[in-house]
Amino acid sequence: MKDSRFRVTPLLALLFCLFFFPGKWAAVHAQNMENIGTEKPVKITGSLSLSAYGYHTTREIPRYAPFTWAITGNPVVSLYGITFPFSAMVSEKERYFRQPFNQIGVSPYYRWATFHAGYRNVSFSPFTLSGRTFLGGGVELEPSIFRLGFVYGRFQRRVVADTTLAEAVIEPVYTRKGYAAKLGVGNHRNFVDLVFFKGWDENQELISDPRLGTLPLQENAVGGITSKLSFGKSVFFDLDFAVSAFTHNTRSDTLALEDFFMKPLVLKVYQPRVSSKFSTAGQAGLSFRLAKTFNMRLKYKRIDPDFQSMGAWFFQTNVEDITISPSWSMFKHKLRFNASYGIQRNNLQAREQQNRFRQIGSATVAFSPNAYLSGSLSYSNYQIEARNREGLVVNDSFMVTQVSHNINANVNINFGKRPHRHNLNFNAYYQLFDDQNLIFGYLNDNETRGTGVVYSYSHQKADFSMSGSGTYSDFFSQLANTSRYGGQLTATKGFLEKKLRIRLAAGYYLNQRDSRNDGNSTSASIRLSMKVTKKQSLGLSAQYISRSPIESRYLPYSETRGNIFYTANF
Amino acid sequence: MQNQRNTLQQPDSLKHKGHREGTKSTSCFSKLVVFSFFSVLFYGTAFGQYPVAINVAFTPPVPVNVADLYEREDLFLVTAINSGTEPIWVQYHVKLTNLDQGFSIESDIFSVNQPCMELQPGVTPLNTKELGNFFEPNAANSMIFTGITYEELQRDPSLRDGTYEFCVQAIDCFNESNPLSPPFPSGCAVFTVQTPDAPVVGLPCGVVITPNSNVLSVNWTFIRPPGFTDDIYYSVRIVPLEPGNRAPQDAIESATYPLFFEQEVVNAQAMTISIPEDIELKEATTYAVRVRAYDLLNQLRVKNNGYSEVCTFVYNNSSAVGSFIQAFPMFPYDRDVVPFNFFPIVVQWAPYDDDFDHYHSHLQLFSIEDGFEDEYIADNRWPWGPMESQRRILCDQRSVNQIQAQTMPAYKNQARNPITFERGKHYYWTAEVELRRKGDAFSTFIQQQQFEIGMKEPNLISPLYGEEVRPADLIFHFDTGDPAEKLIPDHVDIRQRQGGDCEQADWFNGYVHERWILEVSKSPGFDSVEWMTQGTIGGPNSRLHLDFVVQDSIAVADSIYRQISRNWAASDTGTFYWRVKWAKFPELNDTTSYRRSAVNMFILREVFDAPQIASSPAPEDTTCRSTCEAFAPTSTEPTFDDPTGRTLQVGLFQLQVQSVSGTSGSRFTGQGVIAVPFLNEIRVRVRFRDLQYNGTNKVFAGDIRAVQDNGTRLRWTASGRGRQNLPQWLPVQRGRSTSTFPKETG
Repeated sequence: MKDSRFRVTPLLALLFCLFFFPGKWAAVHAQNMENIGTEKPVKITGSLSLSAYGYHTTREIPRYAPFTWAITGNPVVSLYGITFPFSAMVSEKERYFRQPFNQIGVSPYYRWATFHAGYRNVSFSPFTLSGRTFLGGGVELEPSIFRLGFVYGRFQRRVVADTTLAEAVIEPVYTRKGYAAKLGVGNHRNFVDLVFFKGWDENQELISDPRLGTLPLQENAVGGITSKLSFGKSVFFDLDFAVSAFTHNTRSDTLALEDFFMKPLVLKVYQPRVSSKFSTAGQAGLSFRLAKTFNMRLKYKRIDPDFQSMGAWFFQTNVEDITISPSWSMFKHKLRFNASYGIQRNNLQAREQQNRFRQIGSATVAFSPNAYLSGSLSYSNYQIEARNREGLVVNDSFMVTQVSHNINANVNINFGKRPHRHNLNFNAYYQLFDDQNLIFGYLNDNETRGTGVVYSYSHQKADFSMSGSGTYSDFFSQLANTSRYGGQLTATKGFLEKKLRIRLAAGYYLNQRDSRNDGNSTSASIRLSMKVTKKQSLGLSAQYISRSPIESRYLPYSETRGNIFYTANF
Repeated sequence: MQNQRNTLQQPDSLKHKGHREGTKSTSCFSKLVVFSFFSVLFYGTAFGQYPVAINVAFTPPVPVNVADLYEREDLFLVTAINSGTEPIWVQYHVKLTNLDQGFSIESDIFSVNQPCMELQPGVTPLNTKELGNFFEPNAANSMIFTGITYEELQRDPSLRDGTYEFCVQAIDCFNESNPLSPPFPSGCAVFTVQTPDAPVVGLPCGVVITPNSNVLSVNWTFIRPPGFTDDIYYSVRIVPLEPGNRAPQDAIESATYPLFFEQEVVNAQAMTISIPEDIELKEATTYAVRVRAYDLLNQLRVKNNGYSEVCTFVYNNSSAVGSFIQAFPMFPYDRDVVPFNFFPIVVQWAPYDDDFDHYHSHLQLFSIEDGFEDEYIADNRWPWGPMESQRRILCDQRSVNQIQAQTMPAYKNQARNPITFERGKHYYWTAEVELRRKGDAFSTFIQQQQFEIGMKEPNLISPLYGEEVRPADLIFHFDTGDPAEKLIPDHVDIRQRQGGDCEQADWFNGYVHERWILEVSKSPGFDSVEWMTQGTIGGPNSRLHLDFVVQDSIAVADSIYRQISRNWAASDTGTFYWRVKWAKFPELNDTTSYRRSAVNMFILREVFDAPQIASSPAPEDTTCRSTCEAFAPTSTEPTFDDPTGRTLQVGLFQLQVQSVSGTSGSRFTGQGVIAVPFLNEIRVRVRFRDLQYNGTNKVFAGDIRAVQDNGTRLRWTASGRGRQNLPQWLPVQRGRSTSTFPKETG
């Protein structure tokens, strides 16, 4: 189901950028008018890609649409030396009941001034405005030692769940707008910025959702500080801290505040209400380096429960953790170690019935004794424990301890003389997830292990390469024990002085389920890519997959997928 | 445990018992219907001695905020039943207790701010305002807090986890000690607040899945709330990031059906996905993953509506399996021989993420001969992300691929890094690349990449091994060797912003400076050199310089890799050997070399025997030395017309004459192309000398030799990505005579 209104949105954005901004730029650029005669007036660079996909399957529920297309590009328009780097994504996948798929935006800049228009992701600090996509405009200025920024736009468009659609859960949301301002001093290596972000749901018709009831309109104000400091060439410090006021329902009664300095100003920007929540988030890191062979990083993070900023994507809250990450090398860097260990706790304000502790550790040792042999061995582990808060009586059945182990080993051998190159790679992995909960733990327990060997050969002059691989993997869980083994062959060859390249691949795997034969899986693909001209290329690919399960719940199926694409660099 | 009464100002809008004003209750048919239903399910029994009965019922979703109890009338229903026939003035005692954590909030019936209302006979639905000032923090002076403070509630009004009992009792408005409805637990209803943390995804977050993997493992942790025994569903969604710098969360939220991948499991916290049957992954692509936890009855209020943070993984070939960040060597190619004495080492990292704010690399250089040579560390801060930060420094609009290509700081400028590569040494380098995103560091490692500087072995063209040559005709032809597989570093055409203006950056000032030495000796070991000549390619002030390479790469390549010819006026005859070598120190008058060609033996004599090498049919006997079946031309009457542009028949071959460089009567010297019929009509470039042809365009005399075809074999892409070679077997033909005729026939 499509809405034609939204098809014109990208076009409008493009027209807006192309026709509105050049007028604005005349004034900005006026200070450097002497260059206008010498610069090429209009220059377009960048790339544009068109692609179309076709799909056919015998599956009951198709994985993809029978046909889709997309246009993507990063064209850069340069007008008298001022650059307009656009980014564009247009596809038939645009749907009015979701956040926009089609996005066009531009961030032109001149010297120390950058402007933003269209769909943009701007980040001022991790806990305030942090890369959340918005449709709007903004400016960032860095004259001398000053660092200024301001953006305003729509951070979310209204989405109402359409219950007539077969789609799964769609989160209804209100149109959300916001702005952010940044004021700081310093340069890229050393700076201190103060950031303020304000976001709010526009006053609009309330949405009633069968699951969530009537959704309240919300509001948020966040103030933060972000800083990075370098001490010499070996010590680096970074800090991010923010205070958030989040109103759960903007129609709540207001909170009466006692008089204080700047109260009128505060109330203008943010009105505390009965449903307002105040919380903080912060993190700090210290890195230092010794003798070029030893590095250490310490990091501390604390985020209050339900800390939110409408300018940032969702992140885990109610956590406090500290991490230490040393790394060093020995024997003239032929042996290298990387390690990390962190502890984390939650339930910072004792609001939940359980406390959780998490330990995360990892270590990697990599070796490269000569030019032909290298390898690595890594181990990571985490353990999470959920224990009832002291004084609370909860059945032990709900206490949780989950432990995860991951081991990876990899050995790589290069041999052969030019132009013949051979590579042999061995890898093995083991993953164990152990949930020690008395009731549900067994459902979560799982174990995965596998190994593989890959041989590849390439002849660069002949523009030919091929590889063969064999793998074995199995997965044990309460639901099923599955394993598969097989291999894949791949060959790639260039023709017509590398203008045409063809890649063929075929794979065959045998599957087992609970130690019984569960059929096989086959796949075959061909990919042709052709350089039509120096700056244009055309590609075609087709893939066939079939699966013939015997034991599992799936029905046999096959599917074919084709793709054609055209890319132009200009 | 603590009790406290707060004394904040009272809003004017509320009617309280100090005014003794009645409040007319609202009635609503629909609520009565609902009440009738819930009074069966959740009723508080009205005892005979009490004139009022209170019923409380909650409907999903449950409140999550104290303010919900004050504002969200859609979340619960409270009704009062006056069993008498006269209106009664009542106030309400409301109490909310967390049974698990043991704290409570209740209205203070002794407060003068408590509102009174007139309860009409019959059933009266009560709205939240009519229940009094309860839960309104501004009316905190009429509330009693036990186990929690008013300040805590004001700072964070969300309801803590646990089982809550919400109770309402009617009290005589004029006599607080006279209850009008039965005591608690009558008039109570229970609801549970469970707001567990969203799932935390473990695998495959932040790792590289290689094409050799045939399964994709996804696992996550989700702590089941105490007491919750229903099934928990987990939905795993995976979408590709297209384009690669799209925000992962944005990609997830804008994804449309049919989704790239979405699958559910019940209660389990892991999923294995078969590749490619269940998910078709594309190489060099980043994918976003999100897991949602939910229950069918919507009893769990998992934070963020049950959605985990969005994380990403990469599907690609990688030498650093399991590392999220990948780095690939881009220049020089592994085991390549690069002619420039300085050049940037270029790596490309992936996947692109606009949130990367720091780039750190540690390059180590080794030589097989001497071990550790040098190391360089780079630290680049990207305050606006990789793309924007680099664009601001470099005027040119770099694509994402270009942005991801990082030149190592070493060796890009001789003045800055005065290390000198030694010709003939075998170098290898490794690099550790680390990208940081909001304090999180992701690193990877590039395994050994070997290279040499200088030139590859020169290829001797003529005289060929064993060839007999007349001293007067002796010309040495050789080419300077096979070209580097990749001559030009990627993305070195850089315009740098300097004071707001854009200027061509001169970062890479490496140049080519080579001296070839051609030696002729009478001994294969070159114990004594009969004759020697030499020449140079490039030099410090030449245009064979990286700064010029970017402007005219083809011209530079043709200047380096080319044919060279030298005459030697030999005064002696006999067996000779010749070779070409590259001087180790081209700037010195020294013959020490770092690489030599093969050695060719040739015979100088004044009178020829029959040709020593395979040739086309000799006209005299019309026989072939190979399996050729062509007849010799019957006419040997030479034609004097310039054959340029003509196609001449040479035995079984057809020679297309492209140019004539010299003419001596009917003998022509020049070059052309021959299509080899038994090699799939492959076109071989040839040079001919003293060629004669008759009126039917048939060649009956001359010498034709295949040459290395720089014109067609060597094609340089815009980025200098490599030389486009003929099929590998063809160079074998190089230097061989396609056809050699006797000087004179007939």
